[in-house]
Amino acid sequence: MKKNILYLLPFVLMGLVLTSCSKDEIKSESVITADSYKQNQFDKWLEANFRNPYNIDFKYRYEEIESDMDYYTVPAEFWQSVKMAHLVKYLCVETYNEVAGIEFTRAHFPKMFFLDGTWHFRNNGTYELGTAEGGKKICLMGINYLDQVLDGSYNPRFGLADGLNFYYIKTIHHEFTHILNQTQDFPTSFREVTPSSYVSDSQFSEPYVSVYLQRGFITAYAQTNYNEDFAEMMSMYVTNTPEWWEAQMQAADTMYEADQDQIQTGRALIEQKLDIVRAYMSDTWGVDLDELRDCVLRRQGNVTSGLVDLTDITVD
Amino acid sequence: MNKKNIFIYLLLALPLLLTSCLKDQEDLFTDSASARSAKYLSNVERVLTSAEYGWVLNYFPDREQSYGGYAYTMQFDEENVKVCFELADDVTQSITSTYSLTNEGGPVLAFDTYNDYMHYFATPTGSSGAGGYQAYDGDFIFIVMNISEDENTITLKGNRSGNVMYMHKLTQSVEDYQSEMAEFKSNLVFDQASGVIDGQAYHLSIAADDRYMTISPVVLEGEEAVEDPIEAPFCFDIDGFTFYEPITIAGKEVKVFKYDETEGTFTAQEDNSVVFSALLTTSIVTNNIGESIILSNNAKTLTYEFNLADKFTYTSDVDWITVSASGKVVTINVAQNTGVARTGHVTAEVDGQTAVITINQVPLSGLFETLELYVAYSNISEAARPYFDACKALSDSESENIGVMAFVDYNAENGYGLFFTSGSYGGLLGLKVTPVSGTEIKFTYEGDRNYSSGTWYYNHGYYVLIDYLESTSFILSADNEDNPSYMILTDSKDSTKSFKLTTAPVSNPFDN
Repeated sequence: MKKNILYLLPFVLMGLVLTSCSKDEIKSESVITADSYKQNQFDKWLEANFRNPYNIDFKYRYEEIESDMDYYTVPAEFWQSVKMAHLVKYLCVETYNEVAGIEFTRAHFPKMFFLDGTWHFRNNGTYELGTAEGGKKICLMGINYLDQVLDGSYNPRFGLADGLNFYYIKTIHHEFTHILNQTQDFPTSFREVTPSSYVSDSQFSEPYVSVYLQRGFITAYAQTNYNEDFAEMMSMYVTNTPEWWEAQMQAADTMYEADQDQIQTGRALIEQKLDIVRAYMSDTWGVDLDELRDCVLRRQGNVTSGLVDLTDITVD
Repeated sequence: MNKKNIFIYLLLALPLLLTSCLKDQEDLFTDSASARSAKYLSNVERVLTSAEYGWVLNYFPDREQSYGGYAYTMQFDEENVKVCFELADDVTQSITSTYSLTNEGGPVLAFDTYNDYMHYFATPTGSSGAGGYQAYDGDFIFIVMNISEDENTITLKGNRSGNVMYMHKLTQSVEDYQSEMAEFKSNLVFDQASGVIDGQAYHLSIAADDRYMTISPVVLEGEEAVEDPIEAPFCFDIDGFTFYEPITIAGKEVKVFKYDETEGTFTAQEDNSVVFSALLTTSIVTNNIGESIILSNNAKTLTYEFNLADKFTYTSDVDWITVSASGKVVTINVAQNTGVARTGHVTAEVDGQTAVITINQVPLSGLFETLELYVAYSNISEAARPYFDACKALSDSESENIGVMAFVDYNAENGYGLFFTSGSYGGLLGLKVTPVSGTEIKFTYEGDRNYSSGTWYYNHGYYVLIDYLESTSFILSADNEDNPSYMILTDSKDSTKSFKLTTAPVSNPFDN
C-alpha cells in the first residue's frame, strides 16, 4: 500500500506543475486587424452587388495567397475586371435568381471569385482556362483578354457569345453544378449510362478527343469521370442554343465501332444522361432545365447586343 | 523497482516545482502583433504617398538577374499608382493602376491590378524560352524590408525572385526622370572603358542593352591574372549606373558609379580611387557626324553635338573648310563656292586612330544627278507637254499605263537615266548629265541600259522626248538648295517650256 502511494506521488506533483498564473482578461477587441486598402468606387460597387446581397467575395485584386503557386500569374486589369464582375452578375447570379429564386443563389452560389490576368501557362505551351476549389472558390483566368474576346478579335473561331462561354461563363456554370452535386448527389443511375467509358487522363488524346460524341459524351472533357460528365452536360446544355445541341446530337447519332461493348448510339447515351440531369435539377432543386437555358440565352443575347452596361460602377 | 529509485525520481521531479510566476511580466510590445503590423503598413503608405514627386525603383527581374535592371518611376496616391517605365515606347507616358499594402508573412507592397508596364516582366505567354510560361521571372509583389531613417530609400524584396531592390525618392517628376535618363543613355557614346586601380589595370565593357558589365584585369603577357573577370548586372541611373549588388575590384567594394560628362569617366561613389575612363574610338565621331556630307554652294555652318566631342583632334585638308570642337559641340564651317563642285575632308584623330569625313560642295547642276526626281503631268508647262504626250500616246496604243517616270541613278550597274514603267514593261533610257554652269545642265542620250524593252519604247515614240531633252540645255532652280523637295528645269532657249520634278515619288504621272 505504501508503495502505491509512492507511485502516485509523482502524478500528484505533476498536477502542481500544471498551474497557471495568468490573470489576463480577454480583450473585447480582436488582436487581428483587417488588411486594408482605400476602397475605390469598384470596391464599393462589389460591396453593394456581391458582398451584401450574396456574401460573395469578388477578389479582383491579386492576392498571392489566393493565387496558384504552380503557375506564373499576373493580376487582372482593372476595367476588364469591372466588365467580368458585371458578366458574372448578369449571366450567372441573376440567372439563378430568376429561375430558382434569390435564396437558392445565396445558399449555393460559389462564395469567392479570384481573377487572374493571363491563363495558367504550362511549360509545354498549353494552358488552363479556369479552376474551382472545393466548390467554394472559382478562379477565373485570362481576364486581360476579355476586351479582345468581347470585340471578337481574341479567337476568330468563336462568335462573341461562344467566346464568352468557352473562356469564362461556361466554367462558372460547370463549377456551380459541382457545388449542387456536392450538396445533393445526383442519382447513381447517371454513372450507369456509360460506366466503363471514362478515360480520365486520355480525354484530350486521340482517339477520344475526336470521338467523344459517338462515345456518348457532350465534350472531350466529359470523358474524365462521371462528376465532370454531369457538370459538362449541365453547363453545355444551358449555355448553348437548341440548334447547337441538335447538331451535336446528329453528329453523335452513330455507334462508336471501336468499342465492342457500346451497344447504343452516342445520341441515345447522351439523351439518357440528359434525362437524368433534367430530372435531378427539377426534383432536387426545382429548376426547369429548359427554363434555365432560355434565361441564360436571353441574357447572353442582351450582352452580345450591347444592352447591358458592363462598366457602370455607380452605387445607388 | 526499489524505494531508492523512487526517491531518485521524486528528486528529479523537484525542479518542476520550482517555477515561479513573474508578477511583473509586461508585454514586450504595447500593441498586438497585428496592430503593430497595421501601424507599420500605414507608415509605409504615408512614406510612399508623401513623396512629392514619387519614387524610382531600380527593378531587377529574374532570380539570377540575367536581364539586368530597369527603372520604374512611380507616384502613389491613396488609391492608385502612376507608373512610367524605362522600356516603354514613350518613357513619359504613364499607366495608372491600383496597389495594396497588406500583411502576408511580412509587410507587403503589391501592384494588385494589371499594369502593362509594372507587370511587363511577370506576364507569361504560351511561347517557349525567355518570356514564356515563366515570363521573365519578374516581381510585382514586394516585401518591404526597410525604410531608411531619412525616408529617402525603401528596401524591397521581390516575392518571387527574392531579389533585393531599392526605391529612391525622386527630386523631379516621374516623367522628367525617365526622359533625363533616356538622354543620359543616348549620350553615352562609348561602351569600353579602362581604369588603373592600385596599380592594376582593368578593362570595363558595357553591354548597355543586356544590362551587364564585364570587368577584367588587364593581364600582361607571361603574367598570371590577379583576379577573375566579373560579370555584373546593373541598371542605369540618371547620371551613372548602379550594380545589382556591390562588387569587389582590387579589394574595393563598389556599387554606385557617377558619370563625369566632360571627362568621360565613371567614378565609384563608395571609393573614388575606382575610376574608369572612356576608351575613345573614332566611330564615336562617324556615328554622330556621318562619313559623307553633301552641301550646296552656299556658305554653311554645321554643328554636331555629342558627348566627348572635344576629346578628338579635328583637321581639314582644304582652306574652305574649318573645323573646331569645344565641349560637346563640333562646328564645321564651309565657305561659299563660286566655281564647280569641290571636295574636302575633315579628319578626326584620337590615340593614333583616324576617321575621315568627306564633304562635297556641289552646285545645283551637280546636285541634280544625286537626286531621284519624279515626273508629274500637272508639273509640266503647256508648251513642254507634247514631248511627254508622245510617250503616253505610245503606251496608250499598247493599252498600257505609265506607272512611273523619273530621272534617277538607277543602280551601280545601270547608272543614270530616265526610268519608266509601262504596263508590265519598263526601261531605263540612259542619259548623261553635263553641267554647263552651276545652274545649267545638258542631257546626252546614251541608249537603253540593259533594258531591251526600253529600246522598243524609244524607237516607237519615246524618242520624241529624248530628242527634245538632247536638243537644248536647261536652267535649274530649286526650293532649297541644300535639301530640295523639287527642281524646275527651264528650257534655256524657250522659257515657256519647263517642268518641275519632285523628290517625292509620283505614281501614274499622267493622272497627276
